[in-house]
Amino acid sequence: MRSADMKAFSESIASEPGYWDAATFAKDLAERTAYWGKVAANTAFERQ
Amino acid sequence: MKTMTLRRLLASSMVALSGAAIAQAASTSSGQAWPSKPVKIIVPYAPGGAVDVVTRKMAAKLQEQTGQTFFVENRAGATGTIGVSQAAQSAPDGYTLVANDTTYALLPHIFKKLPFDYARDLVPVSAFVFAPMGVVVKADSRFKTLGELLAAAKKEPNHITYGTGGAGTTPHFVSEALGIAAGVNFLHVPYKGAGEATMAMLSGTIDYQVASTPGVMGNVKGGKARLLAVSGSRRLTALPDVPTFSEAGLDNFGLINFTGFRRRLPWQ
Repeated sequence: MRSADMKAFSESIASEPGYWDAATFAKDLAERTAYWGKVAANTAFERQ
Repeated sequence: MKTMTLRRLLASSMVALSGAAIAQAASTSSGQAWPSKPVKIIVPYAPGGAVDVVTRKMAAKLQEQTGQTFFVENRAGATGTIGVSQAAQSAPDGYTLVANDTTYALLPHIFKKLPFDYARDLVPVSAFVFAPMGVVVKADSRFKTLGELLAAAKKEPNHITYGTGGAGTTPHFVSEALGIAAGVNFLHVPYKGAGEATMAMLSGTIDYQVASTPGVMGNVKGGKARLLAVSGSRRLTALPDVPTFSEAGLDNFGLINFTGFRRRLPWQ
């Protein structure tokens, strides 16, 4: 994603290039899953 | 002999190593080069969305670097669980990947039962494109800033409306999270799809919409809509005039969407 064409691509879709390795990705996903659980608990949404 | 893993390959794509360098590094401990056959990447959403677009670009880059075919299959439906389930049932040989974004982390909270083991069947490989979430209003909206929108919501709880493609979608949860962070209550208006919600925002039927920036870029650049704020620690290069949530006065809201690949265990 640091190559010029991938940077340009990311910019064209209003995004940022980056890189999470597997460990970082797993940690974020665990935190994210917990975060959404808290949000779900605060809404009236019922699981299907 | 060096061992090549997909995560190493993806990491190497970050620095645009030449195809020759990739090929030299791309050997397994058994001596067999990886990839030695086409690699399937499942996109669990319909074609044309942000995850699909990013995945196809990455597939093309990986193909360019390895000389091997990386092909994308769209397996949309049930908030992505159909495609993820297919990936979870694939051979654990590294030749089937599944793309995902933050919606994946919602799945345990929107379904009582998933057709795969959320915690065990698939493991992350890497994530590589990150898209802020933004609050978008129609171009001539009365709300010129995020502060004005939040002030109105505080003044009139449950009157400021936002539209989504349905209950349980990522924009629904993000809007709810925004309300929690700001201490306000918005009124959710679910539509049959994100496209209908966007039309409602552009016509003024609803006050705002939350979306990842790739999804709103066209309407913003086309002058039909305005972004009041985007998540992230700094402004986007592509949208330098749009403040971050922190700059707009909301420090505790910074959700970023990602696109990444997951795979079956135990291949490495």
